[in-house]
Amino acid sequence: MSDLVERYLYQVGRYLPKAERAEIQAELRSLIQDQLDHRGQGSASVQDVAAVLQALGSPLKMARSYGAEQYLVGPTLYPAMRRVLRTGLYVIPLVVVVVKVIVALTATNPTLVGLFFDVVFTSVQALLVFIGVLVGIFALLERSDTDLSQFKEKTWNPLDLPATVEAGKVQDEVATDLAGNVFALLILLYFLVVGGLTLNFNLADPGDVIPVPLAWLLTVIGAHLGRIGVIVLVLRRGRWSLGAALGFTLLDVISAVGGYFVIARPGYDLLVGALPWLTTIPLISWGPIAISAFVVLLGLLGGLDRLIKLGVFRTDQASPPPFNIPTTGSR
Amino acid sequence: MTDINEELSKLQLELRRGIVVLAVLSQLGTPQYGYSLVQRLADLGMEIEEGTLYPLLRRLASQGLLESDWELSESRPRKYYRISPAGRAVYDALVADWNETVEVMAGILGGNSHE
Repeated sequence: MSDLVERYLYQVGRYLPKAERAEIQAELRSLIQDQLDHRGQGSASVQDVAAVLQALGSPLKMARSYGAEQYLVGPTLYPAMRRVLRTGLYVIPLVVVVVKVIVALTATNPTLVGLFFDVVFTSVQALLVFIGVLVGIFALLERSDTDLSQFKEKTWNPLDLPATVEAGKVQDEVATDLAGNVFALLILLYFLVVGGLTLNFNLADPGDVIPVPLAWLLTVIGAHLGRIGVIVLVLRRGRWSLGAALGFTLLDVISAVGGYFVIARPGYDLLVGALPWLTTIPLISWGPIAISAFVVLLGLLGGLDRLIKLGVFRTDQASPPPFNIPTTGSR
Repeated sequence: MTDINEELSKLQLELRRGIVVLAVLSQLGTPQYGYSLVQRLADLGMEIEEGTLYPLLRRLASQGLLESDWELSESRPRKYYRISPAGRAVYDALVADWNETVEVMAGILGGNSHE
């Protein structure tokens, strides 16, 4: 009989802070015994013990009732951690790209594919380490005696509330995107008609045309058409959906990769053809790759930004209470 | 669709939460141990689960509203709780709030409820 009580107390104790464990267990033991005395007049059966423990609730539930629910990072520090995390998600891949491009430029036999995979894997690795270290630091801070009041919500003034962004700003951004994509599409269509890259925008006399791979040119044109379609859809709906955000990002990346073959590489050839002395600049031949990688990164960051605004990573969607009980002086 | 009974249980729990504190404070003018308090409140018509009350007593003590002592002279050690001076002041304020709330709610529920 008492064995069952002890087993229960042991399990409750597993979830309790060490400092309070012994006393809470002692008090619970005494209280359970009181209940058993009341039931069995001193000779409680196993069924009586089980019934009393059942009524008290599972060990985890009982420990939680004692406020033993522990956070790795609690609600006071979580918003600050999320801010740092968000900044890191932007900055770290950018740093990785810059470092890797510099390393690749100084390597003896670098390849574009190798650089791409190196950047992706290193970014993922660096982000995982960053997240781990960050959570570790905040978890330590949570458990230290640091005064956390500075992280708590400051006194706020309703008049300082920023303007709403979802309805207005997002629409403005999307409209700007639409204009940019339509303009770029027109130029790409011009390149398609004249058969390559040229800076002479005159159908009758396009000047020297640098040929570009037709398949990539059509791919980039398709990506632009796709983005225009997504933007029109978003404008009609008045908001981004997850599918639209992911689709737009994918098209951004496709367009940026195609941009290397259609714009950056031929553009570089065009430039070097016109200004041969440019080749004397160290590492200049890596310019097209670096620019394209940067554009890919911008596309990914833009996608991440849309997902963040959509609240995909939000975990603190606290719902307001259904009503407020009147408090002192409510009349 | 959410089970309406489940929602009702949650709302009832929410409604009771503050009342239980008031009820507990009201009975601790004289020292009580957990189970005696459960029974005393039950006798007065308020059933409280032990699993709810015991942690509540400890929380109120940690907030300084109750004082507690282990009584070792009985058949087994028992922890007795009684209201502290700070708890008394809080209790008086809560009672005033409660009376005011009851009055307000009586007006609301009696005068302008669903017909």
